[in-house]
Amino acid sequence: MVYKGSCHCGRIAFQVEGTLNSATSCNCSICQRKGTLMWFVPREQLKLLTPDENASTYTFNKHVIKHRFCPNCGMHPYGEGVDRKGNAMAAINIRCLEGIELGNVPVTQFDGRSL
Amino acid sequence: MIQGSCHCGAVRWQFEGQPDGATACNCTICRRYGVLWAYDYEDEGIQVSGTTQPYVRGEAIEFHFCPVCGCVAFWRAQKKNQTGRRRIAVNLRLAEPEAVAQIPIDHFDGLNTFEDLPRDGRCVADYWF
Repeated sequence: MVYKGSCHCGRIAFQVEGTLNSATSCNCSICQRKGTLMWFVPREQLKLLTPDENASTYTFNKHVIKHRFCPNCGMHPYGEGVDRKGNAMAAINIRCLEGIELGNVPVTQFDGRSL
Repeated sequence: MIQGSCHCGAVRWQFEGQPDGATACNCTICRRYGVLWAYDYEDEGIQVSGTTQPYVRGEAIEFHFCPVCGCVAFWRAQKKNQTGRRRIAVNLRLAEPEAVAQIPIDHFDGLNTFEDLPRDGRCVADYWF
């Protein structure tokens, strides 16, 4: 299945291929603030429909995760990183997906604050 | 008093006392932002500081986020009301979790009816995850 997503103003638009079975919610210092509901997919399953540079990038600590956000409307549609095996991954914020009922997606809690 | 800051620390807010509720709204903006709002008036119960980037929608309100780390800090009325007060609401997700954990969630149907929905017993702590 292909899901479409965007920030609010449309500067960032994308589509994601895959099956959305659940999302992850994390309580670490940045996820706590952004309230993201994350769906992890291989980076190649995220196809940007707008130029990559349309999204600003925020990094901190080890600077290995790119927290991407729209510099115009402040939405945070996705992040980019590498998993333990070295595979490029994307964390899709399902709040920015069209055509889904957020309340119907099971949420797994991840205690990132304790790491 | 409750304090909040964005992740990089450039934008801060301060809320006098304890909010009665935290509003979770389902409009196209709030759903994406994932915010939990606490309301008052600017320079009365709420003070904000730091450089923000506004996202203006319509002629009534503007949303403010940190241009460095992207965290949404507050929304504010574009104009003061007839009595000279300016409505503002801060995003409680920027507070220390322990400080806001027990505040009850108020659901607001900003998508369709623009009306409050009944409380369902959940509080901010239920929304950290």
